[in-house]
Amino acid sequence: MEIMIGSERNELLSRSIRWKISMSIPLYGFLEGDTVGLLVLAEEGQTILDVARKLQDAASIRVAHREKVDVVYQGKAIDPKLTVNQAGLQALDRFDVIWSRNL
Amino acid sequence: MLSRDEWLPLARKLDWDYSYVREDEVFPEVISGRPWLSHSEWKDWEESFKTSYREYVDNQYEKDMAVIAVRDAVGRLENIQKLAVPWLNSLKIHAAALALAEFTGVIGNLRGARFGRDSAWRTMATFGALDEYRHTQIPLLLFHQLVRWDAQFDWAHKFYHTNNWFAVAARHFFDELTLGQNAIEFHIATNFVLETGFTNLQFVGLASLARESSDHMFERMITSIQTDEARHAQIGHPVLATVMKHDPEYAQYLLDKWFWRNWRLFSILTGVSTDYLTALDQRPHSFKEFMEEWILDQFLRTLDEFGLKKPWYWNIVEDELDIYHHMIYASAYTYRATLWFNFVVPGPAERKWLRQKYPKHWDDMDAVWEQVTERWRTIGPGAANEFAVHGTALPTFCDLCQLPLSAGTPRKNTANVLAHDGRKYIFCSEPCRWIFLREPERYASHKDVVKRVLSGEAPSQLPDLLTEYFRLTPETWGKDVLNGNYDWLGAK
Repeated sequence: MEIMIGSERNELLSRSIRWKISMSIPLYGFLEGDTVGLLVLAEEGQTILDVARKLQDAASIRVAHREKVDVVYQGKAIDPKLTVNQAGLQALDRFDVIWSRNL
Repeated sequence: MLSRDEWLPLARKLDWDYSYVREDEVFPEVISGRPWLSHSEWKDWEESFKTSYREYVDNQYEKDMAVIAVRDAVGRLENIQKLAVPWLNSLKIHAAALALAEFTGVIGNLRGARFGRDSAWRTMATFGALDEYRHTQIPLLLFHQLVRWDAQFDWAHKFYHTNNWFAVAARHFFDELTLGQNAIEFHIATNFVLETGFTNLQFVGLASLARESSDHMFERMITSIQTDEARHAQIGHPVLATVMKHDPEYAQYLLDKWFWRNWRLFSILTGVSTDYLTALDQRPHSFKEFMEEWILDQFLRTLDEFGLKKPWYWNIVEDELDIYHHMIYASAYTYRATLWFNFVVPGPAERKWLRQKYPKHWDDMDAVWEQVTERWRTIGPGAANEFAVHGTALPTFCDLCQLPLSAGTPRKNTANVLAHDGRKYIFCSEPCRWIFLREPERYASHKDVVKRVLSGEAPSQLPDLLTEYFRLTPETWGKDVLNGNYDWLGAK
């Protein structure tokens, strides 16, 4: 098998393409406007808004940023100030980040 | 002396009544399939081609000579190098997906050649196995010469030997369809659903695309394969007719299950090739037009002839015609380094055409391409910038079809989570969930790529995932065909 040369490997790593798994909570994230669901690694104490921003950043290659978004879990909008733990999100749950319709 | 037509039935109907063994010992249900019926129910099994071995060999010899003649005339490396670059990447997809998948068809047909319930069926399945072996070797032969020029063609052989995510999906499909299947389900799922329903006509369409793209080598290869398929696909009809007579509910289940599983792979291979990897001025039709004109109407008519209902999820298939392969292509473009072929960004003219052909959801897809385009504009073209216009988070996959969770629409993805026996599963669509729940024991222990990463079976860092697990290299992983250097990129 061909070995990846150092500079190419470093280029990849320097762009933070690291799918590092730790004690995080893996979640299936779906951003409105996107074409694929993404794995989001959340922390228990992280706010829902932070998790939503993380998904938006990860999908930014395909979906333009929107400041006003809502997070939907099990069919209901959840308070973005809640932590992941408080909101009850568990490993391999689905959450959606949708464009805010509140004008 | 008997005439050919008098002699052939004698040579095809060879079964006798067993005295020293039981029939279910010769044809166990587990491998012959269900419903298990005595031979009296199968003895009238018949198909229309009725080919003798000698006729088979003579025909195949002529077809092989025709393929070789075309290869010698227009299939040399210098001919291939003149083809449009996007089309070359369609070739790479088909080269990888086709060759070894056909070899799994050898194994499935050989099971029919041994465990099919009538001698005429077994005779046809023997020819079917030989056909599929031919369909394995022809692409391996034709694409082999291209490996020295472009290492991505090496995936014609390598693909199924890797844990590349698309190879995982393809193996998940073909292992069940052909390698591990009993004779009845194999012949219904492969001959009736895949070949009669999809590939027999798809190959006609694909040959047309190849002709429009001036790829006469691929056109000849596909046409030659299609003539074999038209013959051995006939095995499925009398098998299905007998199952319909004795267990119509089971026949409907097999149809519903396998139409969906075939649709998933087919829509990606053919949809992407038709609407993105064929040059705009060489597209004879859109994928949706092709499906509606060649596949769906024809298939519904065939179902009607057998007294079968259209699958319960038919409206989902019709909806997906407008969007699924577009979502897959845009997603795959932004994860192109995870695949073994290169991608093109649809330019203004292509996007105008796509809007015209797919008005229902194109606004949402256009926004995605505008975002990708804007990233290239900001970063600037060049091979060194490939990963700056690339996804950075792990994409997710369906626990049934193993393909990306790219179903539904950009506004509303249809992925759904299921808790089953203490584990969580996610499916791209309702039909994938339904298939899982009909036979959970078959599918439940399989891990998709994400769960392999989470469990530590697969590397969690992209460079290692690409090289160690997907077996790609910097030379072979997918890139933008122009490294973002499009003439139209400067003009907004």
